[in-house]
Amino acid sequence: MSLKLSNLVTLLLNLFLFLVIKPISPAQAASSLDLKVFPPTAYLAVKPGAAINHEVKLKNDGLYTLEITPVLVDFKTDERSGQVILQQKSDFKHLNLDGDPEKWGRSFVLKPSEEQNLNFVIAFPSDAAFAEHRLAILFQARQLSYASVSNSDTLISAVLASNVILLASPDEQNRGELIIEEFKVPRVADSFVGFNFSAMVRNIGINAVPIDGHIKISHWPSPSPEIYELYPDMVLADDKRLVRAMSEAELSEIEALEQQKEVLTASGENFEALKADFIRQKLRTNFFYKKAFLIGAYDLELKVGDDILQKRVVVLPFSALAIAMLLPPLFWLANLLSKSLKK
Amino acid sequence: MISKVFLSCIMLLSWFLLKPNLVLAQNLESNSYKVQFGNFNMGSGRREGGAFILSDTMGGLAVGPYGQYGSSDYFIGGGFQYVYQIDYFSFSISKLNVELGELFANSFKTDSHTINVTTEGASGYNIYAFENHPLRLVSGTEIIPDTVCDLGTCDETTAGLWVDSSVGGFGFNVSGDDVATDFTNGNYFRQFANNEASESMQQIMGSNNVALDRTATVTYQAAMPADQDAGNYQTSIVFVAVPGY
Repeated sequence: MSLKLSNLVTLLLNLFLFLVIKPISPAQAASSLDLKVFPPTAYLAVKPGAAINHEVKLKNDGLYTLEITPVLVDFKTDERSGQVILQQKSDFKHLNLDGDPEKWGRSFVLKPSEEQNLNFVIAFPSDAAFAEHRLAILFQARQLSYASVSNSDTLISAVLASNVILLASPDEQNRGELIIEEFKVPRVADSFVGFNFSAMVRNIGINAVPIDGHIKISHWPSPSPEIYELYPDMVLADDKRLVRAMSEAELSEIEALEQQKEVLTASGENFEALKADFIRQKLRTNFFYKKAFLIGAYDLELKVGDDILQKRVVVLPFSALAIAMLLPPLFWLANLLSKSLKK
Repeated sequence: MISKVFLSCIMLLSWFLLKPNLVLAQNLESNSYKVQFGNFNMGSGRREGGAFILSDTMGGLAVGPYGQYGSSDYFIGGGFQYVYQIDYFSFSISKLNVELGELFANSFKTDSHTINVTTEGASGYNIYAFENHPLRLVSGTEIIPDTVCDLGTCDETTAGLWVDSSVGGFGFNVSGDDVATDFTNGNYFRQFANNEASESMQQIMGSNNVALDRTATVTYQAAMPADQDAGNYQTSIVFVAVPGY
């Protein structure tokens, strides 16, 4: 009996260990509100007199049933980095959920784990003006029932946006045109410091267009120039944007990283996080050119579409020259001081 | 003794075999679902009717002048095919109620939650916040004004140091990834933009680049002015998540 009792104690102890001291799962607890929308941004073109269905997917991965209210607003851009600045409302009448203008502001329910495909009908009248419209479909989301919440609590809700850049166009011709707005390069730089440069482009066309081009740095006697490929960010009609770029070497690095995806994942690395960190560091708008020692003339060429602009930076060891020029008077002063002290 | 060892081994074995699998609760969709440039034209088509031609899109088909970009070789050959893969824009909030409890003069009440953003495209995002009205007595009209911080310098656009609980008010701090730079540390607070007073919502977090699992903690803080009645005060807070383009 005593053996059986000890067995029972061991069994209970093990059960306790199993239930209580089990390893903490790396899973993140589901959030109260977790809403996903696709696409984040859509570029659509519709002919006057025609209509299209624009499908937006909305998914509730949170814990609670949500009451969703769609609202349409206009947006402006920051004219620098592709950031959207929402406006209070929109007067645009040709984009409606299921083609029904009454559905704006009318709520629907989205249960946990549910995904809804929302069909927005875009129908332009035949006399619609040729124009690009910047719209954001907002999904206001609030918990359907706050039954478990104290009536003195402050309640939190969210709004998620899905941007629509919508062109009314009589044909499928691309009328976007990029020109160089600004190419900031210093005239002179120090050999030991390096130099910064950045560029902004403007779309003088009437529809959005992606940036296409490069920044090339040539320096004699280096046989091959260093090339930064411009990232194909969209520039909206009559708008500006800072260019982003990665050097060819960095693009090769990211390609190599992608090829090691399976190896890195197998070794327990978070591949997507590594890649995101790499992109965050390398895909930039302000560039800094630095080597151990720079000397001479560096020719920078910015090419955007058919527009080309060249600038030259003269790099000399100004800091070394300054030190060299300061040394004799300093030496003379030191001598003078030591002589006066000796007297 | 042998039976004890045997029993322990069985239990350990069952523990290893039955332990919970690794679960990523916020996992997104399959990688195969990623698309480039939002030109996701599966299931697209055209329907002709009497009055107009109807084209279907699924998830943002780009037609017309825009359509060519999504499928052009430029994106494949430019070397950036590994950079921007458009996916769901995700926003989560860890909890939907802030419990400040009963407020008393000369003491802080705080509560916090996290917010999380993922937008795998490289266009970035912004998170804005606003309050529908200042903290208001649940059964009454008395309000706790938005904080002006210790030196009376903070507002809805600029954070300020707020460690003196004799300075009454309501404010918030944000710490974590991509947060606005005026939140110097956990003691710097801002007012919420007051929608009732037509103040514009203010950016609290944002990036112009890839955002994968970016998380910030929002901490709410309230202190009641000395000349006010103790009680339960509440408002409602709205976070607005906007993808870049």
